[in-house]
Amino acid sequence: MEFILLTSTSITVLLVNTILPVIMDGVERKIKARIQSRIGPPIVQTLYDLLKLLEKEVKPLHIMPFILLTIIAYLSTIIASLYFINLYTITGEAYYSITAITLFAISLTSNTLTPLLLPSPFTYTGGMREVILSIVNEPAFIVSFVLASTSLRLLNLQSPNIWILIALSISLTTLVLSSYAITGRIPFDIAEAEPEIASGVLLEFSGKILALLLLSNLIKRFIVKYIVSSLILVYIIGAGLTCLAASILLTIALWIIYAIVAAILGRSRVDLAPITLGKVYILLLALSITVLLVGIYGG
Amino acid sequence: MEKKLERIKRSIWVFHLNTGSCNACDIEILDALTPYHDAERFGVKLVGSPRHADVLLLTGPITLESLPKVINAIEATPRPRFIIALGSCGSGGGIWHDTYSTIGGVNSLVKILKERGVEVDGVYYVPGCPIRPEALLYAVALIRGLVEKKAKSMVATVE
Repeated sequence: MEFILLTSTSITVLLVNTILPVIMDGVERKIKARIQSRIGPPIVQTLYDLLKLLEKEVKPLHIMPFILLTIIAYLSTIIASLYFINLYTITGEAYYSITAITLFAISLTSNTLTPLLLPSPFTYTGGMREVILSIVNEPAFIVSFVLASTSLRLLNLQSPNIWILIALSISLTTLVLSSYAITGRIPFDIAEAEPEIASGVLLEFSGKILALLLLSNLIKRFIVKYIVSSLILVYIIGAGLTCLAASILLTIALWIIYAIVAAILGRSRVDLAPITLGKVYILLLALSITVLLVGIYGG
Repeated sequence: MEKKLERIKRSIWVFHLNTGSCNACDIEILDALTPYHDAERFGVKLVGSPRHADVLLLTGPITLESLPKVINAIEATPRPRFIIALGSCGSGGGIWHDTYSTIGGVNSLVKILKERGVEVDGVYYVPGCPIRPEALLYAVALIRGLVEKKAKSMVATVE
């Protein structure tokens, strides 16, 4: 009975979490418009866009079955990852979070693979840029997640160890930074790069396939923030339905903050953003690991 | 088709197709897409690929050199697809309507497309040399059904 309740709750929340990114993208566009002193599109504009794309003709591509395979792998693993984060937030079991992170990493790899299968030079360029960003971001995201969750488990709120507290702050900063970069917002939008390589990775897709890819990208944007929110809130308020609701609210708040940051920042040189990011990650992760080890063995 | 058209009206993705224009209309298109005119409030989005587009913003009198590329771009646009012919040149060839190196505007293009079996679901005309950004927004509003059509075709007979 408990299993059925857990599964049905997770599936309900999964449906909500699949629609929510579409609405939040509309909110982001509205925020960007207000910052630029204009009216901007309605909040449901992204939903209109996706519904329209579902009605459009699909232009055939070379090696269509392989393309469809990678896109379906991307969408299915990203939705499965979302499902396991819901389970983690409800139950607080660590293996659900590990499964979610693993599925998320697989989904990002599938996403990277898709543009590399196409012969278009623009798509290929975008694909290679996506690979570079993944090489820089994914390890940092996973390692900072492990470090942050280890620090949270070791931290005793009654008598906090100052070293572990510092390690936690640094790893959370890295986690938030990498979660921003994974979402592909400015200045890390080099794979899509609309003004420069004409939509890059998305260039050759049309109709329903484009709609599926855009929806997957929006869910990806949601997941990276949702993982961070769940990790923090499961520790602070404990696992359960309250934590689930609070995580979704914190994710919405993070989305709004990221939207404001993206609207304020400018684009940077193509090679500069990933290289700078890589250097910052190495520094932050080395510092975090060192301080955590000092906290465990020296404190 | 009606349902599809209703969906497109709420989300118009445009692709800029220069067919040999003097660039005056192209500058005005960019102006229409800036935050000042805020075309995004009508659901308009400039896309980098004809495969993403619903509407092609066609400028220029369509030179013979650009014609094969123009046909390729129109074929690459998934249906339903529309053309907004911009400026005097796009609408009717302008001062180039009967020159040796152009086909003379969108009407001749539609005829060529029909011969080749390429369907276009609608053509909108925005005359002017160059067009004003407001005129382009008017065309978008016309597609959305927010405003009335200003011009009408009429045949006058002299007795």
